[in-house]
Amino acid sequence: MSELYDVVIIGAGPGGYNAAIRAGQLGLKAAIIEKRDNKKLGGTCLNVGCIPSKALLHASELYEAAEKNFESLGIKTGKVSLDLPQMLKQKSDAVEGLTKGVEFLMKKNKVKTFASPAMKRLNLKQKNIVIATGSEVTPLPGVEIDEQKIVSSTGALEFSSVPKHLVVIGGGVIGLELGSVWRRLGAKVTVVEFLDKILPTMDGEVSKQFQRILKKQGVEFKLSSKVTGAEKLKTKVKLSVEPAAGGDAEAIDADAVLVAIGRRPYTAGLGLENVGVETDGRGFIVTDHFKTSAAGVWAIGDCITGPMLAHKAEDDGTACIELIAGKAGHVNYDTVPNVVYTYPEVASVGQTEEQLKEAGVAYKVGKFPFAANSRAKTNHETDGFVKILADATTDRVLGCHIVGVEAGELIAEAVSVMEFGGASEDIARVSEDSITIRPVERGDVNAVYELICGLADHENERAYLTATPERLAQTGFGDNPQWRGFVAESRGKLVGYATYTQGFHIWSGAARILLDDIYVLPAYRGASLGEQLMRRVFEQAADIGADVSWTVLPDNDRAIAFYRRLGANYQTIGKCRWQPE
Amino acid sequence: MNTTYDLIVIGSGPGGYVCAIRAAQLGLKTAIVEKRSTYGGTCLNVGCIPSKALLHASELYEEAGHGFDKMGIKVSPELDLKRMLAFKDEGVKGNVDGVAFLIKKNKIDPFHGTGRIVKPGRVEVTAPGGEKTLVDGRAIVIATGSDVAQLPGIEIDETDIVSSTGALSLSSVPDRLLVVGAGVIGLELGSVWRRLGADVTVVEYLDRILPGMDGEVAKQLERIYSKQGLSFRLGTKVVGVERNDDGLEVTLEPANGGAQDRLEADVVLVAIGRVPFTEGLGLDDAGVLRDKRGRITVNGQFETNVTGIYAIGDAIAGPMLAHKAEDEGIAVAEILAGQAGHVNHDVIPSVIYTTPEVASVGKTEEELKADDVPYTSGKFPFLANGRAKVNKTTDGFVKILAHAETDRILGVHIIGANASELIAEAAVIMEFHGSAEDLARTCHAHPTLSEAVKEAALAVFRTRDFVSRAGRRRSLFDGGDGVTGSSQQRDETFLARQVQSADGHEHAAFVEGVQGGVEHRGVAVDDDGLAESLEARRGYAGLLGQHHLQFPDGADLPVEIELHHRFHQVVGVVDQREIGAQHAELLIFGNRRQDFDLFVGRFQPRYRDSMDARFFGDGHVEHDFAFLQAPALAGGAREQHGNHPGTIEAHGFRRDARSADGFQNFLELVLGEERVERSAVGVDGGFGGPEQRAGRCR
Repeated sequence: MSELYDVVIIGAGPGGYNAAIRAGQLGLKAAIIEKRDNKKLGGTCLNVGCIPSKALLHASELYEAAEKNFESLGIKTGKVSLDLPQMLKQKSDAVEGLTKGVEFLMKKNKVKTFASPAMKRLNLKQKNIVIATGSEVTPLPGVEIDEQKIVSSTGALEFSSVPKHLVVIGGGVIGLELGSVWRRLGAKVTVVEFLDKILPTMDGEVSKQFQRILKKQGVEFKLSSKVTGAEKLKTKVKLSVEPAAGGDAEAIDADAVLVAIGRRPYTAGLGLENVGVETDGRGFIVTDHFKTSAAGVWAIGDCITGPMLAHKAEDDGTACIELIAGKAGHVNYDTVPNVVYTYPEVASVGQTEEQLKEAGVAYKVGKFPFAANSRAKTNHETDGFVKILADATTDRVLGCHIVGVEAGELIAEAVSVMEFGGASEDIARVSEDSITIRPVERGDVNAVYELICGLADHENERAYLTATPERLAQTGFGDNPQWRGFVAESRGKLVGYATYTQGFHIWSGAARILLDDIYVLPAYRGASLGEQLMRRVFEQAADIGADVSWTVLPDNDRAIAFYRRLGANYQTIGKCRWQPE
Repeated sequence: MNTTYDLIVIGSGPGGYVCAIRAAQLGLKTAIVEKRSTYGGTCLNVGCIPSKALLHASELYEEAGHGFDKMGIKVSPELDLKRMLAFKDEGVKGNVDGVAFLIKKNKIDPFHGTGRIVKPGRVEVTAPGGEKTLVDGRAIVIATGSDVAQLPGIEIDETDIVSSTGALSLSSVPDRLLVVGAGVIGLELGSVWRRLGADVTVVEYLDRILPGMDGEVAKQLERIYSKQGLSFRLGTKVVGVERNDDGLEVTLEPANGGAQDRLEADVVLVAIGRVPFTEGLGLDDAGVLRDKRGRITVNGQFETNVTGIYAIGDAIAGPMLAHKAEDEGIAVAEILAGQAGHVNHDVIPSVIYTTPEVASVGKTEEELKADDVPYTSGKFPFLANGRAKVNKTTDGFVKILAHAETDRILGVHIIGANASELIAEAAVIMEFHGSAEDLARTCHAHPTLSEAVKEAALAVFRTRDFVSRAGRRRSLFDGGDGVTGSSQQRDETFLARQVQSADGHEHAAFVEGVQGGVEHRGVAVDDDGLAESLEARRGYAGLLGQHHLQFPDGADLPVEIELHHRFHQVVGVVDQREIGAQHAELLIFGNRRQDFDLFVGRFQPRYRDSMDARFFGDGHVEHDFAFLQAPALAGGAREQHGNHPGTIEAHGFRRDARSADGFQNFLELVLGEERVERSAVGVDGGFGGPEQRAGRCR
């Protein structure tokens, strides 16, 4: 006899089990199918992915800290030694606890579980099927995984002893995490990466800085290199490595090899072709809001496009079930964070600088190093930085990239701000007011006059001021080539100006610009407004091939240094000159 | 001749130095007065920084001794206290040197010595050698912070009867440490010495630890600390300490009287609190008022009753926290430079750096109960969090308190590893007036501790049976009972949005706020009083002061309008048309420029169908409003950025139209007729209220 289910979910990884929980909460009659032995729910993530790797990362991090840093904290350690079987056991215990937890959640939410070995040939009737079969390790031709010496991430969680030399193929998240684990426990680790950078999809600056940190920790890198073959010797593996662009192969001896070049969707044996579920060229199931091409069949997580991340699959699962239940389910893929759990951690969300450049988006960068953060400094955890990319005009946060201890936890704040379409000022009230610089116009007469008065007061020269708004207006003000300038404007108020007259050198007849005044209201100094105004004048001069000259008091060292910085020459008679190149 | 400074800051703690640096960055000529030989105040020298260094090192020491074997790390740890204290001193030195560098880099003139205000605009600095210097400045900011509160009859000598200062430098681990006061400082330093081997007893006058914290959090913590080995004597007061051959003998008495008993100790740490430090500042001569607790009285602009004298940080009311002082320092510098400075005192997190850490922001359950606010609580234990489990840091939970009707997050309380970092997310969400659902639907990386925050938020909104987002937002916007209620409590913040038309003439203010935990939104119309106040102060957001809002049921609500720091008002004209003889325009206004961008994005044809408009007006008032929003698409996707409170709200605003029709016609033109529905009720200067809630929405 078979019951009718509202939804049957295939695969009990983070995507599948979260979908099942949501289904239970929404009152749907749900069943979940898992093929892993002994009812081990939780999929790759819980059994051979995120969870066990984090358990080893955490323990090995403390092991290394005890070995290297404790003395400086006033903790004498004596000899620190590794009990690898115990370290692996505590990892397995954590995994077991969490898979049991998932089992409990299935029961609690009244989800029927069909799992190996109790699996018989069953016929389930259902209204909807959700495919949540996840992904599997991408194999590398010529390097056959035996999970003993040549391992995938699964085998790299179970080495019975620390390999002397571990070669990691692939400088992505998994390779760097597991490489870090075994380096800390004593292995020499070499990472071979086909591309010319590690963490290829991450922000370039992050990947560069992070590589530097890992190198300092002792990880060796062979970038732009490919592994073309592996020969198993008695105790070792001989790898042949070639430059990615082609060239002579070199041989590298390894005690263990970790193949971590990526993952691919796992849909084999599902019978997709029987029901007409389309897949794309790379094996991903084609979906539109989780709907596949077959009626009543849905798919989520790693087996559809998008980042292969547990939390993306979880959100997919929740949203997919909500759609099945006729509610509004949605995942905002622009704000899915990504974390590398090394030491320090790396976390990012949103766009990278490279992506923004390619899309032609004007952006600004805010960066803060942990070396200047009190707590990081106190804890001797100063590696890394926080980098925020914000839209140049709206200040909206477009991306956030963190290298640093606890980056994985810190990124949550950035994700929240981005979910709200927040501005970088909303995170840290440090950004300057938006100030625009534009050519002076006729209508600016009164405002510029006020600024001129301000300047006169500043120089204690109010008594000598001859300008009046009327006289300024008579000069043409903006329309007159004899009298021009730029103003800095903040929220409709003029806060600074630079004015000049344009003419010709008497002898040579070449165009010249004589700078009259430059002034910025005191409250708006410190944002390099003066510099920006000057540069605008210089740009203008460059356009017409003019040089710019102005006077400066000989004892005004600060001003002279400032002008020099902008590329001007100081001439001893108290004159400054700038020439276009 | 003496220089006249724009600003003299007295005290270089986190409030003072941050204020001075910000002021200098804004172009003010700034001086700073510090009597210690190093900058950084209590926080950097004898407070947060050194205690965190000891907490960090002692935590690892304890973990090495207790948890490492289970993780497969064999080690026999031994304490090198001298080295640990040196590690702490390195941390302090690195940080105070950093401040000295910043002061120099920003060209702030330092004056080393004790400052005294001779008269407004003049500070006398007495150097350690005794020589006096006079410093003149247009403004003075008092940032003198606080000092340890003394316990009558017990004299602190900083050797065996110590304050927090002495407890950071004990030369050996005491066998028995008695801590007086179960507040943050007592628990943090008590934890340090317990981990290093002391037998620690904490005596607290009240019948609970951490007064002011959420009760459930405090109770759970007491359990955790007790399990770790701290002993507590609650409801007990210390009446005396005597020295004998064997150390100290402390006399205890039940708080409400009764038989005394005695406890022996080697060191007593007095940590009953801190008091504002304003002695010798010359405040009485200058006529600066203080409240009964010695705190300097300031207005919303941090100015004292004496013009030109300002005060911030521990020396004024509010939580005595370094980051609160910092924010106030920045705000006052911005105010002095003619900008808009503001601190949102509702969203200041507080943290206890013990193991596990404790962090909270916003209201406690007790406060919500006392205010009669209906709330829902969502809780998630770290025991069920993957990362906590693998890290073996499963003590604690995340608890989120949200408004029962609007789902707005009112408070977040976390016990757990890294609680101090996790709370930042909660604070940001609260700054945006976010709901529990917003937090729950934000993607959190797996496996992180921050997932527990998300799960707690899920627990809140699951209990409300999945209210659809659009529906919930609408009810929130419509105001709720609070708008028409007569509650006059002033434990709330109000935000005001000034509506400005293209010609620069202000017409009205849009006001929103929370009163007694209930959302209010209202319109203050363009009467003379408002127009006047609109023009007051800073051109772009000067709605400070008292206003009266008239609501449809005749209720009169006095509103104190404050400047909000995210108040960089942007007003945009989305569209304007001549309809008949009337001119109508649709304005949008938001906190930030991107609100405008988002709205314009929404106006693209592909979004048009997803937009609802609701029109409020009776055709007689000058200013009719329409609320436009994009609800969740029917059965489809929640569009990116849609439906987050604070992200996209647009408010139509009719100008120069004598009847409602003009504006409504206009909206119909813009949005399409079928999407605009008129609500047949009046909003005579008010927005929201029961009548409007009765209005239908398509």
